[in-house]
Amino acid sequence: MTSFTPTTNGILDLYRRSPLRHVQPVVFALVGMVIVLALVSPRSAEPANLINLVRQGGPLALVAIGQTIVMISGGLDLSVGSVVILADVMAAQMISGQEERVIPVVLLVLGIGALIGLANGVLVVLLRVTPFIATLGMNFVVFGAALLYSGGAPRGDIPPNMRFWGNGFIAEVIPAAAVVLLLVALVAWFLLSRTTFGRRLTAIGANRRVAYLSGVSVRRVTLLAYGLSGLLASAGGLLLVAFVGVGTLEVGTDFLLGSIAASVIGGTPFEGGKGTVGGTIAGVLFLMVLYSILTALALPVSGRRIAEGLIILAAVALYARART
Amino acid sequence: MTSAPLLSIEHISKSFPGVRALADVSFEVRTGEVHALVGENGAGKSTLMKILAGVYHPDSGGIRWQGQPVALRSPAEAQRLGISIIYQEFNLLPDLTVAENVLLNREPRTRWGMIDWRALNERTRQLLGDLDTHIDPRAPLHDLSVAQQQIVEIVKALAFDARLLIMDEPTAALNPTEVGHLYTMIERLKQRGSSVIFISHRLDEVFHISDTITVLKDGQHVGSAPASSLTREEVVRRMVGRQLQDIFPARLPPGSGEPLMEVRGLQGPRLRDIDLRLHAGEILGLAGLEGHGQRELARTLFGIEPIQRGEVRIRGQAIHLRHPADAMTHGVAFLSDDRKVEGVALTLGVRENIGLPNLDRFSRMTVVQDTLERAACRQIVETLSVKTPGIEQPVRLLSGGNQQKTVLSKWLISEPRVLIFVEPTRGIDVGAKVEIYRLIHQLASQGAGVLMVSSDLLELLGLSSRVLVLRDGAITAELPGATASEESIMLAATGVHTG
Repeated sequence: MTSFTPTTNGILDLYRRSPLRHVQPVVFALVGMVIVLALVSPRSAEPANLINLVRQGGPLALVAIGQTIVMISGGLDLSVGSVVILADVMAAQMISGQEERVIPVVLLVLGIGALIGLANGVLVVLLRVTPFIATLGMNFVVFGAALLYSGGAPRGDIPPNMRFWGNGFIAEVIPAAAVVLLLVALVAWFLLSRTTFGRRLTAIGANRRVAYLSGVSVRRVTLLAYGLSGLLASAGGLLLVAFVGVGTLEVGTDFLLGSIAASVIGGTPFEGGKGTVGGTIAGVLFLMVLYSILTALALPVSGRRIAEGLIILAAVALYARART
Repeated sequence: MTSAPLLSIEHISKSFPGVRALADVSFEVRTGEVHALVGENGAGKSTLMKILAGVYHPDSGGIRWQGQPVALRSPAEAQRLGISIIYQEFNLLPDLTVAENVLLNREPRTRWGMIDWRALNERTRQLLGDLDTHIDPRAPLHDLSVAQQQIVEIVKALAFDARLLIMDEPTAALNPTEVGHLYTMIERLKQRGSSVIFISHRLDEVFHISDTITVLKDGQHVGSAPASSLTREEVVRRMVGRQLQDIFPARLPPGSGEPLMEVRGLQGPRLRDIDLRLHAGEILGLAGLEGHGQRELARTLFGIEPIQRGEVRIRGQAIHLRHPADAMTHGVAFLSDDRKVEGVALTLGVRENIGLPNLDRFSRMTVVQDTLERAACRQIVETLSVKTPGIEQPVRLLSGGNQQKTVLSKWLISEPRVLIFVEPTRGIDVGAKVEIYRLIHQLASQGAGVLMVSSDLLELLGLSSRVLVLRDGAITAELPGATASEESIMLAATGVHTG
């Protein structure tokens, strides 16, 4: 162990002094993962399959962008998993295959997601419940609501016009889900890096007292951050159900852990104060490649789960260590 | 005073990123002496203290304890040797009793391994008795006064058989009677053969109590000498490294006419019936013992602490203060005494910090105009000569003085009319201090009203047009800056004649 530490530090040091320091570490991690994938299963690393990963990663990316927004403020949103599920089962059941219902239902579901997020914000900001407990409690409430709504067995399905956005291709090569993701990412990037909201959000995460004493309405900005996370989580649920075609109650933990892991791997620390949309999307792609590798290795479900959890933990821990 | 050295500090140096906190410092503390450590904020006193506490480790140099080289690798090791530190913020648990605090984690046990309460209280009573104090060992700590809590800290240190007690500003929150008790206590410690390192800003006390005085300046050891061989003026000159008249700009006269800010009958959780008028072009000093409301008053006027009753007017207009943003709208700026917690966001860059309170000014339809922001930041950074490699530099990499200038920059961009400064030069070196004094002076002479809270009487007396003194949350005196003195301020602050 004693010889390990200086070596890591040496490499870190080398990295910090090289021109590569401007590249986010997650990009190296992602490239490394793709190389591993190519070694394990050359076919999976072909361009068409990699593009497919972007399509599969779309729903998680939307949720993770919301998670990143909350984490930049120094908070955490543990309710995203249930919001994804609620949006997913509600959309399937309410639309029930009828194309003309798609737009009103999508708007309704997005509104419900935003309201749940705002409720989280109210708990955190006005009632001063710590984010961890507030959103964990909300996670139970919302999951309960999803169970109640679906009666424990999701019904309904998604008509082709909406499924296109989940699993279709534009001009036969560009996944429609990637276009959705790109649009959302652009808006989120603009919001975080160009607007007063983004600047205030970052300041709150970096130092809440300083932000408050600089005249920032910490409450309003925090409330908005949780609202956006709820909105994006429901958008993730909609994109997921468009991809799968029917509702599911099973994916909550994947989205919860996945959104946090992608944010942290992508450079958003738990303490907040920084984070980028690009980093988080790269974090999502990292996870998608990881899942492909584990699939290619044909591990049993139990082993796959354990490996997944351990690798995510290791990546997060490494990232925390590498941070200056 | 020819006894053997208990502690020898030998060529200790310590640097932090961007700052040389201590450079080749050497001196000795003898057995049974009171050794005063004086110096300006940022002179290296607290770094040295933390090295002796085993919290920091010196980059070079060493420490001898009774002639033997020792390495203080952890607070536990320092404690084992017999070094105890009494910080300004006490390390006591308010909900435990005096005895529980004194013997925390070393409670006497019965045969069954349970805490032996009788022995616990008895042993504490004995320790307290040794110092001739009559605090009930069974009293909950939160019922004690600050002075009594300090005694508990001392007794706790003695329970560890401390040979060397380091006291950091022990009198900051004490009234003169309590200070007298503390002196008696320190005399007793000397008689027992313990040594004391006494850190204080108040030179009267330093001369009253200490055998030896060591002066630090900018991390360097200026000198150590018997107190009897030094004068007050000499010590000040050594601490500051220049003559007083070179430090403070010419005093501004008290303002008159229509006040810029007027406060009437202000009540707050810790403020009683405050009336004050701040005029354009003057520096109004707020003085008082620590914890008597001057800090709260400054914070209340920026909308941080609640107003229970009374009104605040700015240029004749009554304003509602519920949030700092309310004060900012009316041209009020606020510089906190806790720079790293309330002044700058250390992980963010200079530009991000400076931009934060000015985002609305730099944005169109909530979109921040980069060019506008950068230009304004570059200009203010240049005007205040903030030493930074660039406006994107993370603020944590700047020195204390430049961090403070960053805080000033972020406020001065908006050209505020009322500036509230709380301890504006805490923890920065003398050079930066003089620059900040000039700046405060310049702002006031250009027509701003400055309200300044400072526990550094030298600074308060050097700059203020008028001085208001607070006691128990109420204003007890208004003194003209030109004739106010340490004595007149202390008299108004305590209601007791000193000296």
